This record gives sequence, structure tokens and C-alpha cells, in this order.
Amino acid sequence: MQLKNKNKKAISIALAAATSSLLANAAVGEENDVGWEIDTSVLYYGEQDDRVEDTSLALRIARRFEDGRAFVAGLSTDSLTGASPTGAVPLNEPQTFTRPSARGQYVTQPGEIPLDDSFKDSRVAGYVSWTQPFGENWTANVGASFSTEYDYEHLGFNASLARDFNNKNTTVAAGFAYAQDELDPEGGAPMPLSEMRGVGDTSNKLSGTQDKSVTDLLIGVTQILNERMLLQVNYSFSQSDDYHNDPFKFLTVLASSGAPVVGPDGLYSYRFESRPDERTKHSLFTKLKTYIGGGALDTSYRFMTDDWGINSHTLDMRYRFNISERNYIEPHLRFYQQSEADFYQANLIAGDTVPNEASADYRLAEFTGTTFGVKVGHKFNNGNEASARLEWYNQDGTAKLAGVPGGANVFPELDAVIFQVSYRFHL
Amino acid sequence: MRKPFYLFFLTASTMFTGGCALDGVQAWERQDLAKREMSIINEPLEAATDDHIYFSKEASSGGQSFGGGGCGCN
Amino acid sequence: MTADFNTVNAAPEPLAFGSRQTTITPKNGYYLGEFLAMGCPCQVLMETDDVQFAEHLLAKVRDEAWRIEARWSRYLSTSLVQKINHAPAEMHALDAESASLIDYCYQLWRLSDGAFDITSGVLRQVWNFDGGDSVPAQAAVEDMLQYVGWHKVSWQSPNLQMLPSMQIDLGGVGKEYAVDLCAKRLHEHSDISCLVNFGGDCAVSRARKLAPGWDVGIESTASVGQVRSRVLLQEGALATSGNSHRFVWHNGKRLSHILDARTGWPVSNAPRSVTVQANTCLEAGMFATLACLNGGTAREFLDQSDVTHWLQA
Repeated sequence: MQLKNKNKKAISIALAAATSSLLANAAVGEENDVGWEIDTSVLYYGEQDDRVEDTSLALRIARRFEDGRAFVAGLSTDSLTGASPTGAVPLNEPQTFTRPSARGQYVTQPGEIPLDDSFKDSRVAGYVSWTQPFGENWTANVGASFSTEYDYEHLGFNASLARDFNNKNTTVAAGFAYAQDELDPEGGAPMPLSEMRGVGDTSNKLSGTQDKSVTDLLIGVTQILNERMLLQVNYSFSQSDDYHNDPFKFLTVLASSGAPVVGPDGLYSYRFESRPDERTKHSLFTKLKTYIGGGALDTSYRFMTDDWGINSHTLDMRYRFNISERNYIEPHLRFYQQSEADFYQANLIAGDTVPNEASADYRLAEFTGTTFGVKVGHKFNNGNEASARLEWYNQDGTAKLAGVPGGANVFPELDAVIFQVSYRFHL
Repeated sequence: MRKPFYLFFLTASTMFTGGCALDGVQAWERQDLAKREMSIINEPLEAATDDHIYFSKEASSGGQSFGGGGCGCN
Repeated sequence: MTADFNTVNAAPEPLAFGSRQTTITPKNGYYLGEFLAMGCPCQVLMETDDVQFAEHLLAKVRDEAWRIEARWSRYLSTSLVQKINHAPAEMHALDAESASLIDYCYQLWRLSDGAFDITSGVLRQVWNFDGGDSVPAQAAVEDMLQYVGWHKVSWQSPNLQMLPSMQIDLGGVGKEYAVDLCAKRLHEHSDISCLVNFGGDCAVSRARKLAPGWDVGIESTASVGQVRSRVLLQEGALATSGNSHRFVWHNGKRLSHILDARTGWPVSNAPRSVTVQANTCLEAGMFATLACLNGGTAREFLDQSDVTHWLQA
């Protein structure tokens, strides 16, 4: 027999290599016949002191076909109630504010952080995406998204291309997204830096809708490091143009004594915020997934910097620990820190030159956000899965009154609870 | 009429999940990577929820996939 | 070969494919699931006391085994193999998984210098391994050989085109492939240890937690159901080549049913059975087959390689 002349160990190695390649190729096919995967969830988000509350229903359907094509679509609804900080600072006397529609007023009690309680909204958002492989190593993806609510419309689309290298251990992807948003607040958006007027006075309102366009570019590499480790590194660039203001945020004008100043129509003096009409952001995102101790450890870090002067760091860690074959528990920790925007200021000072750009929106202040939570999940016999998570989110930061004695910190500390129940099934 | 906060599905929340095709490492070693919890975005609905909560409460967004938007909350 | 002494013998002839019954039985420390596929009894041993979970896993394995059978069995009219065999001279563009299987067989053909050949199935039309002593005329064998030989096939993955009257048969790899894929599925879907045993070819999905391994018996060729050796299998796979019940006598020599595709004749002096232990069932099975194709030098072949093996002459 001819076989005996061959190196037997070489045969064994060749056989092992051929087998491993065959089984690896089979693995591609095996993911394919799962049919429709349906994810559903109910979310409750609630902040302390009757601030924002949201109840959200979400649905996601996904179908992966034999040849790698995939269809994904999602729909969600939100219903919101509550109140949100306006940027105005607490005073030792009652403050009266005109509602953004100019159709009414509300009063904030002495010592309390001014909250605008006049919102109540519902929103519907959806998206679709299609993934199409080309040849052995290329994958293209296109998608579109929309959202609609009382005074805000969004329409976006995106496309990306990914290429596998190195026997599919490496994937390089590049993507592009463009979105057009349109804001049409009731009664018109306020002129930037104009003073708050009395009921019925719309002389400081802009006419028409306010638009914003956003272009995102993203390039990323996903690399399998070894049989239990996976690394993703992304760089993204985002450029947005035109209207960036929040039409419901304003700044309190204080005298250098710290006392409020009287403005038009018997109100104290408040000026609507003014943000730059463009913003450029750069983000570096890395994620490491490690299978360790019988569970998946997901660690990610993001650095973001923009031309508004904001730098931020986000560290996110979660570990899915399998208690048994069917049950898991997943603790989650998230730490976020940002510096303030160049134009952020807690207040304005009467008599000073009004700057071109100013905002007292606490989300542009320097602060730290901390999240900790836990999720439990159960897999059923038929492959369906139910899970519930409960998380706490806290924000604490620095928003010091400027140009007044004392320089008190008026950052509106936030405590929120996130509770989400999800169910996944297959059709 | 005000909306400081919304949940929004990231336009491209799924787009890079397919990037981690697991065909490269030897078949017999790849098993742990093939688990769902080891995919880059293993819970897309939850990830979209988180992205939007933090999009509406913080000055940063995106990074992993496209950066949110489409809501009047920021 | 038997697994945990729930004796399973490789069935000499394909069973009826109609039976779609699945049973599950509690055993000492595990559940035993059984069904029929690819012409043999199939078992899954699952180290759990949760019957619902065991049923869930068993269904996954069974569906995978039936999927593989439906797609590549030469006995099923639905299969791709029959489709190809009905029109061998046409160009067939294969799906990715089938193309991988054909590629694998092509590599085995090269490794065996042409002795292993998935086109050799037509030779069964002239050979009859019933333990008797009738061998075909050399002219009849040569007549058949014109339809045998991978070198006559045009294979540019994924496009396959053969000569008229040629046929392919993936029976030589299909069962081992199924065992490996099922073990892999079990590994992915659960953290418990399972042993997949399809007609004596088996693989372990992951290490047992409550026992040092699965106790697998290698059946004696001398007597059905009798255990010759025992292996405690904690990982990897075992597969056997050779069938002590299928042979023909010729000139005082016992010819095994393993045919050398180059000569059209059975390999002479092949061992009755070769069992190999390897990482995967495919590697074990193919190594055992290559050993058997060495005929009288099979023992030498095995001893010179570093695989764990059991040979019964």
C-alpha cells in the first residue's frame, strides 16, 4: 500500500486541519435556521422628585437567512410625563416663568430648582435595516430610521461595508449615516439670548421650523484575539449643523450681589440659551469581550472630545454569570465623567456683555454619572428567554454660580431608576 | 410638549454586530466565542435603550455604532 | 462499540427511514435520548437531572442529524446527493456547506493517494459482502471502474460536474460529520456534558462534572455485545472503521468490505476493526478508515502515528 510510505504524523496533522476547516464552515450554516427572532421589552424610567418619567414599549424583529442576508426592524413608543430642570437657578423667593408656548405660567417655590412641568408627550420611533453579503468576505448594510412626536421629526439613513480578513478573525468596517431633524415647538422657538416674555408675547419667537443635520462616519476593527477573547476598536466622527439649542432651556440673569434682576413683563430676567450652530465630535470606542469563569465579561471604554470643549470618559462593565444552565445573573457598572462645554455657565450677570454663546443646561456642565444595576435572566426549554433588570443612575456635578458672592453649586443632582423586562421568542 | 428624554432605537444598532464572524479560530476552540453572550452586541434592545437614556442625559453619544439623535431631548 | 453499556451496534444494513420516534430515559446520573438517523440507532447521553432540558437538547441533536441525513443521504430522494447522482454530467453549483464536505472528501482522496474515493460507491453493484465466497469477474470490476475516480471529476468549488453514470456517496464521512456537528451544537447550547453516539461513532460535548468521563465500551469483533476494551472519554471522540460482519472469502483470504477505489477490489488483510480516539469524530473515523485502507500494514500505520487506537485483526 502506498500509504505506508507517507509520514503518518503529517497525515494526522493534515486530517486535523481539514476537519477543523470543515466544521468551521458548518458553523456558519448552523446559525442560520433560527427563523424570526422577536425581542420585546417594557421599560420604566423614573427620576426622583417627580422629574421625568417614561414608559416605553419596544419591539425588535430580526431574521437571518441561510446565505448571511439579514433583515432587522424595530418599533418603539414612549410616553413621557414629569418635569425637567430649565437651567434657571433656585432663588430665595418664588419665581414665575412663562411656559414655552407663551400660553401660561408656572411658579417655582423659594429654594427649589426650577423645573418645567409642562411637558407630556408621546413618541413613536422605528427603523429597518438590511444586511447583504457579497462573496466570501464582504458584507454591506443599509438602514433607515424615523421618529415622530408632537414637535420633532427625524429621518435618517445609513450604510456600511465590512470586510473579513485573516480567515474571518478580523473584520474591518466603515459606515456612514446622515440624519435630518426638524423641530417645531409650539408657539415657535425662542430667539437665542432673548429675554423671557410674559404670557401672549411672542415677539421673541422665531418663525418656522428649526432644522439640524447630522453626518456620522465610523470605522472599526473587530479582532478575535483567541478562543475566548474578542476586541473591537472604533473611531467615529460626527458633524452636526444648524439648530442645536434646546428651546426650553434658559439662564437666570443675576445682579453681582446674587439677587435676581427684574426683566420684561414683571418677570425676573431670564435669557434663552444660545449654542453654536455646529458641532464636531470625535470618539474612540473599545470593547473587550472575554469568556472567563464560565461567563461573559463585557468591558468597554469610550473617549469623546468635541469642539464645544467637552471631553468625556465612559467605562462600562458587565459580567454575565451563569448560575445554572438556564439562569444567569448579570451585574452592571457604568462610570461616566465629562468636562463642561466652553460656553456653559450657570447664570448670567446683569450689566456684563451678553456672550454670543451661553447655556445653563446641566447636561453641558461638568458632572459624573454612575450606574449600577443587576439583571437576571431565564432561558426556557424552547430557547425563549425572559430577563429583568433594575438599575440606579446618579448624576452629580459642578454648576457654580459665577460672578456672585458664595458661588453656590446649583447642579441639579439626579437619581433615577431604570427597570426593564424583556422577552425573546422565535417564530 | 417638552421632551427631555426619549428612547430611540439606534439607527445602526445592529450594524456592527455581524462583524464578529466566528469562523476563524479552530472549530474546536471557538465554542465559547460562538455563544450569544459573546457577540459584540448581545442584547440589541437593551443596548438601544441604554444608548438613548444616556444620549438624552449626557453630552456624549455613540461610539460603538452611530451616535443616536432623532429626538428633541438634546 | 457501546456507550455506558447501553449496547449499540452499528447496524449492518440501513434501517427503515420511516421511524421518527424519539425516546428519553432516565439513567443513573444522566438522561439517555434515542432516535434513528442515517440508518443507525443514535444516542445522546446528557448529564442532567432536568428532563425538560434534556428533551430540549435531544430535539436539537435529532433535528441536526435529520437535517444532515435529508441533505446528503444517498438513500433519500430529497437529498442533494440523489439530485447529483440523477444527473451526474450536469454542472451542479453546491451550497457552501455541501461544497465544504466535497472539499473535505477531496482532501481525503489526496491523503489516501486515491484509495478513498466518494465515487467508488458504484462498485457495490458488483461486490456482495455477505460472508460468502463469490467474487465478481475481473472484467466486471474493470467495467465498473470506468465510473470511478475523483480525477475524472471536474471540481471547482462550488461547481461539481462528473461523467455520465458516475455517482457520489458521502456515507463514508456523513455520520462522523453529524456526530461532530451535534456535539458542537450541544457545547454551544448548554454547559452540561453530553455524549453523542451515532451507531458506535461518538464525541463528547464537554467534560463531565459529576464523573471522570463517559464509560465507552469498544465492542469485540468476536462476539456481538461483548466489550473488548473500555475507554473513559472525557473529551474528544472515538470512531471505528471496519465491520466484522461484512466480508467475502476469496482464495482462502478474508476480504473486508472496504474497497480500494484504485483497483476496485477490497483491501486484503485489512483488520476487522480499527477504533481511533481523536479530537473530533471525523478525525478519528477518517484515520481509522485510512488505517484500514493500508490492509495488512494497518497496525504499522497506526503505531507510527501518534493516535490512540485499538485494532482487532
